[in-house]
Amino acid sequence: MSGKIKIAFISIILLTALYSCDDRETLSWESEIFLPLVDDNVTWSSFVPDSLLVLGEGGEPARLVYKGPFEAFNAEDIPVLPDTTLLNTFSMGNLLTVEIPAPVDYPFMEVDNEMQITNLSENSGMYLRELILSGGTMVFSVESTVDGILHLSYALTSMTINGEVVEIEFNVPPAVGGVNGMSTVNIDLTGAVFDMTGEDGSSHNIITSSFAAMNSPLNEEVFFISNLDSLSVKLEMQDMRIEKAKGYFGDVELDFGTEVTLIDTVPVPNPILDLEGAVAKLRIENTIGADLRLNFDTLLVDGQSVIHPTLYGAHDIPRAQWIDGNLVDFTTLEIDLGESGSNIFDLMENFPEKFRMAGSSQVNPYGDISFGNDYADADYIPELELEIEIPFRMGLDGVVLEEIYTLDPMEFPQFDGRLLIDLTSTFPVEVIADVDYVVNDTIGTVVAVNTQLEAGSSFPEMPSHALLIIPLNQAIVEPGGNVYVSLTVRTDGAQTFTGYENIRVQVRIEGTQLIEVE
Amino acid sequence: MMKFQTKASVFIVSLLFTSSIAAATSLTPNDSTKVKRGGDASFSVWANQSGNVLSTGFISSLAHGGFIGHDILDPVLEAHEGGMGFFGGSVGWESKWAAKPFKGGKWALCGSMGSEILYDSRWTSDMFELIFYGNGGHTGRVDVLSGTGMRMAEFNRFGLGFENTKTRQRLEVSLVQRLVGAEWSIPYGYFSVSENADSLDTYLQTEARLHALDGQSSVNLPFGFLPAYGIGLSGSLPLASETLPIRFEINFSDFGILFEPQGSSVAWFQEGIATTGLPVLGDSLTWESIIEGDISTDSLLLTGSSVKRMTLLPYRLSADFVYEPSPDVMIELRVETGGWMPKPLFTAGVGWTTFDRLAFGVQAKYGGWGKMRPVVWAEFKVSCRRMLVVELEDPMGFFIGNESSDFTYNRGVTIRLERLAGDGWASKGGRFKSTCKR
Repeated sequence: MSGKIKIAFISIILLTALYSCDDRETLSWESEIFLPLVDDNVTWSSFVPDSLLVLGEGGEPARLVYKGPFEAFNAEDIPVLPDTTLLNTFSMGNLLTVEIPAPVDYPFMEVDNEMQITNLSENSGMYLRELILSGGTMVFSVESTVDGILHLSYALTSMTINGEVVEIEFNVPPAVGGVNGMSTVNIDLTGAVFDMTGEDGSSHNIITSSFAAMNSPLNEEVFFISNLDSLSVKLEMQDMRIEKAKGYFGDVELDFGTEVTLIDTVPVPNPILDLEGAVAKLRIENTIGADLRLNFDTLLVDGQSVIHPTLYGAHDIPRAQWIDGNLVDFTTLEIDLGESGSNIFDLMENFPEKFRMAGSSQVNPYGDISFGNDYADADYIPELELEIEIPFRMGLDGVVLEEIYTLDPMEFPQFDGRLLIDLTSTFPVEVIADVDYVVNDTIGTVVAVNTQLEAGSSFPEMPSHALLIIPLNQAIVEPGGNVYVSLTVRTDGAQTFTGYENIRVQVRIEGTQLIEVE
Repeated sequence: MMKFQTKASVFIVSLLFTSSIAAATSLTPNDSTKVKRGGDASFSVWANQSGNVLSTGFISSLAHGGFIGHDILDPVLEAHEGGMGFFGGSVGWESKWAAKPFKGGKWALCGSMGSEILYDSRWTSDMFELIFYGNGGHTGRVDVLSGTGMRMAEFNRFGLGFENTKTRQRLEVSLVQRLVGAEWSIPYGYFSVSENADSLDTYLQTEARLHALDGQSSVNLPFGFLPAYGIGLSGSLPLASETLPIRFEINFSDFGILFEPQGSSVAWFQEGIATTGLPVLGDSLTWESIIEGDISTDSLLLTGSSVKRMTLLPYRLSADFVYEPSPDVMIELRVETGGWMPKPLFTAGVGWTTFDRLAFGVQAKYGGWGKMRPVVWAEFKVSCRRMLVVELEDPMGFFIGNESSDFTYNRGVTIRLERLAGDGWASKGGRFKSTCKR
């Protein structure tokens, strides 16, 4: 290598070293950020459940509409078939005088039996003629004293499932050493149809059965039957749920006491309702084939009694007409709670929250006038409905929103910017907005700003807008904090609200930060 | 006035050039009788870096540290052509050789071996803007992150094949080893804040792979090697006119498949944020709704080891056209693709044989990772059969830290030592042929 080249090579190394030995500063640059932090909407949904609010179109007032059941009746109130146990013991004593070998080819015992259900109702006179179950279980148990295996055939001849009589065939083990042979079978009663009129067709509460016992082919030896032998058959029907029933449902009286909540969120501040055009009704549809009598004892609006000229007392509602399981006609009772002489609208002026009602209902107040032709279908339970309709014309005065928005600590080094709070309102009233940003620093720095939004309009849509600006720097933004927003409205008299009104609160951060890389 | 560094740099280049000329003019032809006849051979080392966005000035600013303002960043942002920025290159060495022809015939055994580190990174201009400018200046626009990524790997290769000594057509089978590698990419991603900053919408899919084993290796590295092997084809197809002073040559290397073993560390992350049924009266996605869980996120993070898979080798394909209108002048055109370059690399140049043993030329290159840049080269015939080639790509780019290099985007050097063949090589033409006497 020539001297010149060596010099050049060394020079390059030295130059490189010169550069690499520089004291390097921290690399930094500014980054401009613009990020949404909060976007919230205050609408009528904040106060009124959506299911109750019917928005007003074309500038018409929205309406608060409640149309829901007072739970005065339910499926449990229609005729109930209690858990029932039917027990029969079949003894050979009267048929055999001597011990005989059990025949192989034909039954040695055949019994047709009628069992009476006696526990339907106490003193109400209730009886059933037809029954369709939507669920339930029948446990069939047989206990035998016979020395051999028995093959049994048992059928509830008054019951069909899918149009066919259910017949059970099974074996009962022999009695051994003084211990009776036992066997149990479970049957699902879903969809079971009972004809409870007995063999003569004019009785009620009757379940008929057929029973046959014969020698089982499983026996390897001949066994004998004596006059001391017996078979005990136990029928347990459990958890039966009635789908349809026909008969006489008895003279039954049921008490009810129930409550409905119209508004369960934040109450509207000091509302004064203009109740012109308001509606308050009670309605009941009797959809069962039995007469009903309703007695209202109490109706309270937010704990205050409603005075009404016709509500309290007995209201008879004739039975519905059912033909071949089809509802042909039903009767409706409607009571106008706002009729002349009622004070209910006075009680509703301050935006009602709760309605409470108590009373009783009586089934078949005139006795068995249908001669066993009462009819009930679990899908058609009578409903007592409360119908309330309140137009949104009201005066307001107070805080409609107090919300805290939490800003988590954010890493914005050397931040220089601002917090922008946009308020957009279509409420047709003035809105006073107070915003406090409380910093999560050691001294709890508070930055407070406020503004007043002019009245806006939801129809036609003409929102009013206000912008609040809070200057921010790293010390304020990095620890995070809470933004307390309070919105106050005050109307001059009753205003019409369409339900489309909203106040939108948007919080954004805008500014530059310095990013540093070591 | 030039700074000290500038003066020193110009001095060094001048010194090198002057010394080369002096050495060239002082050499006398070797006694060819002392040289054995054989095939050709070459040994190359190179290091280059190209980019279309990151100027030397910007890189220098990053290296020096301090505050970088918009006066520095704006030209970089504007340099993103087609919305993408590229930065890549390679460092390596290669030796190619051909043995004497079999029994005086026309076929000869040939081979090659070498190592190369390839690196490649690319990003969207939106990504650059988000990092260095923030999102404040372009709300209401969807920032595309898809296509951002980087990769790096070290490849070793060994090839063996046959060469036609008359036509110089050459075909090799290459065994390629990827000793270690890493890659990261964002196949799909975007970031959007609405114009009034009242909603935010982001989605990000990203994948990272480290082709190495966790844990310390036996050579005190923080990872263990997980080599992958592949097989490829390499070769060249020169075509020369016997009547016209032109030639055409196609070169290709490593056309094949790399078989990756299982065990690479893989991380796969997906995060999607979307609004879900918020009221139409204005609610939308904000940090608050994210924090309070009012939105559904489609978040997925998977880490583990890769299964076996096949990938393509970093092939290269090039076509050269050379026209020699006179014995002293050469005009060349070249197009090259592959080697992880995001775009084809086009080269056009001219060369002169100014002295009996010295030729030099200039070229203009465009594409690959970078923008248009100049290349200078010199070929020096060391002896009757040996030649040294030095090629400098964008020479001003070497003066990092000097103002004169602030607007360069590339730099590269290639040094090649060739042994020239004797008979049979005339078909290739070229500036230098072996002048050794038999």
